[in-house]
Parts: sequence; C-alpha cells; structure tokens
Amino acid sequence: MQYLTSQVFLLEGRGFIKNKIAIYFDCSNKKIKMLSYSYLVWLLIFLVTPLLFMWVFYQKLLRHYAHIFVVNGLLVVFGLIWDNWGTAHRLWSFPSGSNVGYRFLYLPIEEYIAFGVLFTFMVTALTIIILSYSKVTK
Amino acid sequence: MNLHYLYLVSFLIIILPSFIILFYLGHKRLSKYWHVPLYVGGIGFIFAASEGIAFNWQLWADNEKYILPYRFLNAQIETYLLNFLLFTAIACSTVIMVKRKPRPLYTRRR
Repeated sequence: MQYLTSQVFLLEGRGFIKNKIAIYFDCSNKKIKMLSYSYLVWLLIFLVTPLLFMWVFYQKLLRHYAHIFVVNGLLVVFGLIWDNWGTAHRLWSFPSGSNVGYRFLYLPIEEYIAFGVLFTFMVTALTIIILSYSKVTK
Repeated sequence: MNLHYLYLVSFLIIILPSFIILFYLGHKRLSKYWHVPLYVGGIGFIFAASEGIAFNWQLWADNEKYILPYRFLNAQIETYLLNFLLFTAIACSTVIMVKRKPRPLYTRRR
C-alpha cells in the first residue's frame, strides 16, 4: 500500500506542491505535510553546522591534511554509483516533495551534496580531530 | 534469495571488499589506532537515528519488498549498519593516510 501511494506521489509529485508544502498520504492514509526543502534543512542541521564548528576550531589542523579530504571524496564515488543503482531499481526513492526537485541521473542534487561532499568531509574531519587527541594502543 | 535482504546485501557487496583492501593496506597502523574508527562508527549510529527522526522513513517511500521489517526510531535496521560501516570505513582510510606521514602535526618532539 505504501509502495502504491508513493508511486502516485512520484508521478504527480510536483503537482501536489502548493506554497512549498507537499501533501502526502502514508500507508494508513494519514495526511502528512512536508516542506520541499526538508532535505536541505536536515543537511544544514546535521552536516553543515558540525562542519562549520570543526572548521572554526580546528582550521589549522584540517588544512594540514587537506589532501585526505580529496582522496576520501573520490572513494565515495562508488557509494554514489550504488545509490543511483538502488534508486533506479526502486529499492528506495526520493519523493519529489522532500527535495528541491533538481536531479542528476536518478538522485536529487541534495544527495550529491550530502553524500559526496559534506558527509565525507564531516567524517574525515571528525576522524582527524579524534586522532589528534588519541594515544597509541598497545 | 529472499528479497528482504536485497538492500542489506547490496551495500555489503560494496563495503566489505573495501574493508579487506583497507586492512590489507594499513593493518599495522590500524592496529595502533583501532579505537578511532570505532568511535567514529558509533557517531554513525546517531547519524542514522537523525535520518530516521528527521524524515520519518515512510516519506522516503522505501520499497517494503527489499528491506527487513525492523525499525528503530523510524530508521531501518540496515541504515544503522550501513552508517556504522560507512563511518568506520572512511575513518580507517583517514587513519591510514594521516599516520602515513612521518611527522604529523601536533606530535611531541623529543
């Protein structure tokens, strides 16, 4: 049932959006309202904010290891291929109402920003900072 | 194959070989700093929960055929495992590269 309603939503997704709010029916036919910028808001809270804090307080340390961010970013390309494959085969999907609506291949632009750039940067920065405080275990 | 395992199997196929390569390349460095990827992996659990709470995964319209029927804080069980493994893998790669340098920043000089 959930699958069917999501199909309908995806087909008519943009038509449902009124004043930046998407109206969506879940599996129990309960009406849910969702902002079309909810993915961006989540990015801002859980990825951009911690990254900014880490950058402000550990700028010197993170700049020293700038090349590692690039290498880890390249590794996540495999993850993006997997993400595209999953979306193409309908293992999961991104309903039009939850993102701004611009897509490249099968994924919304936010997914590339989140998964390919911000997510990798955050985990790498976090590891470098923890590593700078940690001692060698024997 | 039971289709409920498809999501789980699909990311394990990508992540497990990368772990084998990472341990092959940097097992000496990782044996000294094994706790760091574990800490970072733990933060991956919090991250997965944040996804579940923020999006109420039903809105992502996940196809029920391909996932296990277990959820915690609205996020699927596979999402927790995926985030843990992904965070740990990126942390392992970072540890290997940081500790490759002969004189990293902020180490004490004798």
